[in-house]
Amino acid sequence: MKRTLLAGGAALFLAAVGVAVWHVRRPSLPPPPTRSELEALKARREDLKRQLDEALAQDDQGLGQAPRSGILIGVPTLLTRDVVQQVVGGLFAETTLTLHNLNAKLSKDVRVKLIFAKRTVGHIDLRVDIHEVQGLLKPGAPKLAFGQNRIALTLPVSIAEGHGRATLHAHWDSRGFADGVCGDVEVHPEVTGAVVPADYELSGAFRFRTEGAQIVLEPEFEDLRVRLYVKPSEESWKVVERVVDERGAVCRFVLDKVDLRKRLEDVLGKGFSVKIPRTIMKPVRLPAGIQKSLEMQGVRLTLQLQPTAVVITPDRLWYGADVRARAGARPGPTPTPPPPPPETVPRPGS
Amino acid sequence: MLRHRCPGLGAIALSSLLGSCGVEPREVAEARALKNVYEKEVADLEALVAGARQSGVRRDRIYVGVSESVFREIVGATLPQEVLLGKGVRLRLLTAEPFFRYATGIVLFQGRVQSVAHPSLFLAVRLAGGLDRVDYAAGRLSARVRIYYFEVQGSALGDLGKAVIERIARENMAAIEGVVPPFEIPVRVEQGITVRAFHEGPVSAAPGALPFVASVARVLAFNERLWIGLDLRVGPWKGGSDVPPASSPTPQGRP
Repeated sequence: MKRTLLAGGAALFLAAVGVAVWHVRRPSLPPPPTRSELEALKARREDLKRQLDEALAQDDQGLGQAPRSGILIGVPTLLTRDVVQQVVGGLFAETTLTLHNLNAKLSKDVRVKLIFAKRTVGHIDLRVDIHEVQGLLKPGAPKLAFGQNRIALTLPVSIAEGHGRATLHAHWDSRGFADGVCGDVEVHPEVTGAVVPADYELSGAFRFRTEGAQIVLEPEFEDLRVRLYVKPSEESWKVVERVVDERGAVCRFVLDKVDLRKRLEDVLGKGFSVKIPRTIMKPVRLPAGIQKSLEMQGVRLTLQLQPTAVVITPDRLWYGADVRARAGARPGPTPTPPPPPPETVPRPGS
Repeated sequence: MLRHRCPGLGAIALSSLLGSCGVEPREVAEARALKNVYEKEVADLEALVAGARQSGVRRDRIYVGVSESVFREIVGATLPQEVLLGKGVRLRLLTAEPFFRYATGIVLFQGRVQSVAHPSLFLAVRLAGGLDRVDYAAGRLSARVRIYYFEVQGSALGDLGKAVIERIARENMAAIEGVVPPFEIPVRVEQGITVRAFHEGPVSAAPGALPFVASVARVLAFNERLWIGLDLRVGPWKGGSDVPPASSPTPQGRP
């Protein structure tokens, strides 16, 4: 018992010495702040807070004007403009227009002025069957204008660098004196041609639509109607000229009067009406959105989102949601090591 | 306001660096801690005011704002969280209270240090930290709490006992920070927009992608919100064979 008391006393003494040494050797602290010092700092803080609120309020498109909601995302209109421009521009730069089985025809009597009067010299049936024509769409610089809940877009589009192949069906039925010198002519040469470059304008808008707590720019465009013009290649004209050249001199005279080239140009000159469907414009999601679930520390959280109004300012698009969280199943308990000696806190030095 | 809402918050932050616990009277330690908090807030606010006056809020930057109530809702749903601090001793975090008022986001945790073997033996503790770093990775934003302060509450152990525990906690602050749940911000920032190849009537388009590169540019707390400013570099558009395979005509990485 006496030994135990001695040992306890020694331990207490050593502990007291340790505490004293620790107390003496610890770094000396500056004097504690006075109440008035703290009050002055607090007043300075409040003053700066007021100044910050004022600075942000003056910047009326900034954070000071952000609407209230639990989670808020502010996407700059500059950024939205950049995204829309690049998506639309990029998409159209890689877009081709391919048309199949177009045809144009002409069927008429041909009257030419002979010595004293105009006479019918025959009947021409011309049909151009375009098997395939392909054009490349080239976008110009899109113009965007931000409105209340939409972005109006005007996009210049050119059709360029197109080409196609076709069969020309020409049937010449001579009449009157031509019948005697020319007879009937029927040819079906394969010809090629190029698309005549032309400029169009695609206009419409992207409307802001909330999808959960995400903003989607929904396209609102009409079908774009374009008229596609095809110009036969020089090689094709030579084919047509060869048809004429193969005839006798009088027949060539008659066919020159018929002017196959001009009639073919007339047929193709009307162009082909083409509808570019509105569905080529795709919805665009803004780059940031609120998630419906997440995992933290192994706990799966389901978030019930109540989207709040979309607010559009000239400089920023605000959207957000109020959030309620519900926790799913938790992971198992923290692994417990073998039972330690009972204690509530670690001992110094342990 | 902060002080009013949370009287104990005066002990927040940086006091640990001063080694002011224990043998000093509690009110002196709190005064020192409070001074440090105020000085940090004043410095942060001065920088913010100067920045706002000089250039205003950057208009090409995405801002994500998270209210105190959302933080409370989300972090609260994951609590309690536990961690083993040492042999047989566990820290159990029970509540988290955010304060997004004066430039720096501050979070106050209430919890217990308890014996693993005898959970009924425990001490109430209070931890405070700052949300001054937000990480962005793979489209996700998460804010890690940096613990500034650890305090044992109650007087069962006496000032010296509390000082010892607090000192041990300070020495293990990194471990404690490791278990304080990082605040996952439920906002997904897309990594790009991918458009699949399509054929619509006579029109056909090659696939394309518009990549986004996001980075956290700024974190600040005011108006009871934590604001995260993100710089987003957009493009350039990649078309044709440069495009990764896509499953959706909308932004990548969506569930």
